[in-house]
Order: sequence, then structure tokens, then C-alpha cells
Amino acid sequence: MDVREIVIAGVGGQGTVFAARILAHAALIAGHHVAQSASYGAEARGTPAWAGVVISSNPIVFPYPQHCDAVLALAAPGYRLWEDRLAPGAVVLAEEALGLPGIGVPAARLAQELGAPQAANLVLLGALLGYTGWLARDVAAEAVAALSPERFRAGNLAALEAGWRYGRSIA
Amino acid sequence: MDERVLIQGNEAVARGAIHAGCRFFAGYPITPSSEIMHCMARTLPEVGGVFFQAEDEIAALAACVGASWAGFKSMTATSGPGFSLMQEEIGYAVMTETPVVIVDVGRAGPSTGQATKPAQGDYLQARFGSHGDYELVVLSAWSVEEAYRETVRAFNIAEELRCPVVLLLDEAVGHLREDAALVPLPVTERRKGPLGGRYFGPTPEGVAPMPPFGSGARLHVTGSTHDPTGRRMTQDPRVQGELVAWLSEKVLGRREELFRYEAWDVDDAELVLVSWGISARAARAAQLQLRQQGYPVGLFRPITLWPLAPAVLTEVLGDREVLVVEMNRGQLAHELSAMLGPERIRTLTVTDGRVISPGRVAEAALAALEGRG
Repeated sequence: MDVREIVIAGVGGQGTVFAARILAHAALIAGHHVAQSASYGAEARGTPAWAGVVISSNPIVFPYPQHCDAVLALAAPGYRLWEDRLAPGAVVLAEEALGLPGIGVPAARLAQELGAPQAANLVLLGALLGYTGWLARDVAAEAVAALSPERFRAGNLAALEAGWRYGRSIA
Repeated sequence: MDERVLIQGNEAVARGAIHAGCRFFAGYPITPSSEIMHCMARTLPEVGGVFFQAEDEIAALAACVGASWAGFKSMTATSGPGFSLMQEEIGYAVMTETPVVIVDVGRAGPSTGQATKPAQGDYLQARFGSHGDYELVVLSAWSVEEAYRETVRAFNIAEELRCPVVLLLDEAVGHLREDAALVPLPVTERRKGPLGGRYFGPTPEGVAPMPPFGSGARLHVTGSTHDPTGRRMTQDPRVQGELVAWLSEKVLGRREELFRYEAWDVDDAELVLVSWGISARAARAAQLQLRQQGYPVGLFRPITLWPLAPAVLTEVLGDREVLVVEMNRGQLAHELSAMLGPERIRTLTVTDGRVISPGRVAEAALAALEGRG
């Protein structure tokens, strides 16, 4: 992997930072250099929030995404901050219900069906990895298992898997 | 390759502190530094240390000074508003020659400003914020790994010089998670003896030993002017003059060995970017890109922010044009102008709460190169 810049965008409370931490941890397990950044408001919930992950086979100089190779959109306010900073050929996976440009993913519905409504973020992350193959499924699952609190672990793993299958199906 | 872990800048500071032997932390929570406090609260009880959440930042640093005199390496962490409150106690730590580490994770100010946004606006406060004439040491870090390393160095310098050391981070580095190798580093232990009667001011060996309370030494710890045993001497001009000179000279006398920096492609550069902390990563990205395009641009990155070493600056930078890149209104630039002359100093300053981008640095560097005529 040369360099991949990924942004997970939404509003505070949707787990943008948590999904980014999982992606970053998976990248580390896979042997890459990685930097995970975030931007959010002083409010705990509801204002635009995003988390960035830069993955590279070389040490990372500037740790923030500049031209995104992928954006995962959980809510429009966060997405709007990044829509004009996409690299050519960038992958945009957006919660289907938002009606944003890019590929719609029924992340909230899939998470709901799994009994893990908090895990739409991980459905989208799984969809990205299923769609692009940038990191292996088992590496991502290892990261989810490592970082999830016990009571959410099974649901988070199921959400990642459902997303991954969805991503594969549209690849 | 060393084992690399994915860790946040603030967590790396806590790891560095524990490695350096820190066994007392007092603080008052404030974004974006609170993770340091969280980690210390979790870790200190496991290693026989003490964690104390104080009622405010003044009390937090006062507790650290007290703990240091009880023989504990001590640290506090805060951000701009709390750092302002700590200034009185910083002066007290200077005057009582107390080793203590203060981490200031910078956020956009003034006042409460933007709590979750990065800035580098506390530079001049870090070196000048308390009253009276004094010097202390200010360090920085541009990465998570360096935050760990410079935390350990901060503790070592605090012990060697018996003075407060400020580690000046910014929200961006504090909250950044990246892969880092947290390798063991040399640690300087407290010099607690001999109990020879001189515990403040210079001794023939340099900095005086610092016996902990209860170890048998007779001394008095005071913020008032004092003799080598700590006896108050508030009328004597000679003692006052010599003490003030000593407190400054013990730091400035070692400015060259304290001054850590990195430089890239400076020798044949016509323009040198000077930048620190997270800004330097934007500057480095821009400098690499400009070099690839054939522009004669170098980068100089001070890691020690105070004291600066004018002799080193002059030797490395020569008479080259300098573009200082920082997330404040030109605070390091202010110092460099005084040391190198204002004519050759240009600035790119950003104070909108965002990390400066490599694109803006490259633009400013090209404008500076063209403006040279």
C-alpha cells in the first residue's frame, strides 16, 4: 500500500473517531505506518465531526488527510467539510438514507437488523474494506475485537462482517 | 524494527513520565490535555505512585512542588487557561529550584477560545509567563513518539537543573494517534545528597543537591530571596543579585547542550523554513515537495523552544532568508528576529484553530523565494 487517506465523517456521537481508531489499529496490525486524527466540537454530540486515517508503507510526514481516497459519510454535516477534498477516483460510501453523492450503503438498517444500532459506523467501515480490499477482513475483525468494550463486541463484529459482505456484493 | 504501538500523543506523554520515574501527578482536567491525567490516574497506583485531582491548576502545580520536595518526580498537565493560572507557581518552582514537569497541550485562545482546536499561542507565555527575572526550559514535540521522548528528557533536565521544565504540545499532537516505538531511554535520578548545608544556589559542583523532606537536612523552602540553606534574606542586595543571576545562568549557561533541533537540506538552501510542533510536519511536507520541484528550500525544526542557542542558529542558518511557520501570531518569529535581525525573517502564521496545511506553507515559501528579487 502506497498511501491511503480515509475520512469518516458525521456528527458527534456517531462513532466517527471509534471507527477511525479501528481502521488505524487494523492498519498497524497489517504492518503499515498509520496516523489517526480527529476534529470535533466541545459538544459531546450533534455537531460536525470527522476522523481521518492516513495509512502508508512509509513513515508519515503530514498526518492529516489532504485529498481523500475514501470518505465514509454517516451524516451530511461532516461530509460537507470534505466533499471538495476528494482525490480523483475517490470512494464515497454514504449512509443510504442521507441521499448523498457516492455509493449508498444501508448502514443504519443493517446495524438495526443485527441488534447493534450503535454500529452503523462499523457497517460502513466493513463496506469500505469489502469494496476496496485495502485491508484483510480478519485484520479488521481483530482490531474490532481488541478495541470494543465487552458488551458491544459481538454486535460490532457482526456489523463489520455485514458491512464487509455488502461491500463485496457491490464491488 | 522496534515494536510499534498505536498510541495517542497524550498517552505517550504519560508513558514517558512513568518511564522517567514520575510517581506523583496532580492536575485539573481540561481539554485537550485530559487524557494525560486519565492515564496517570490509571497507572500511578499500579507503580506505587500518587494521583491527586486538585481543585484548580494553581493547587495542582503547588501540590507537584510539594511532592517534588517529598522526593517524588512530579508532573502536571493542562492547557492554556490552566497554564495561565499556573504561572505563579512556576515562579515559585523556579525560586525554590524545584524539579517539576508541566505539560501544556495548546488549544486555540485567548481565554477559553476553542477548547478542541489546536494552537501554538502559549510559546511566549511558556518562557515569560511568571513574574520577575528567570529562565526555564521549554521543549516541544511534533509526533507521538517524540512526545514520549521529550517527556523523558523534560524530567531529566528538571533533575539536572532543578528547575521547572515545560513540554509545549498542541491539541493536534496531543490527540493524534500514530504508530510509535516507545523504547527505554536513559533516566536521570534525583541527587539527594550530600547533606552539606548548601541546598540552594550554586555549589562547587554546580546545581545543589536536593534532599527530600525528612531525610535529615536542615533547610527552608521559600519563594522569598534566600541563602544556600533557604534562610530568608529579603534586605540583602548582594544575595538578591546573585540569586537572580544564578537562576538564569544555570539554564542559559547550558543553552547549547539543551538546544535540540533537526535540520534538512539547509546547506544549499536559499530559503529556510523554521517551524515547530505540528506546524513543522506541514512545513516538512511542503519542503519535501518543493525540493522535488527543484526549489532551494530547507527546514530547521527546533525541538528545544527555550533557551534557544543563538550560536547554533547562526551556524546552521548562516545568512539565509528564514520563513517562520507557526500557529500563532509570530511568537517564535519574535525571538528569532531579536537574535538574527528582523530583516531576514518572514512569517506564515495561522490562528484560525486549524492545523496549517502543507499547501499554504508551499505557497508562502514560493512567494518568499520570489520576493527575494
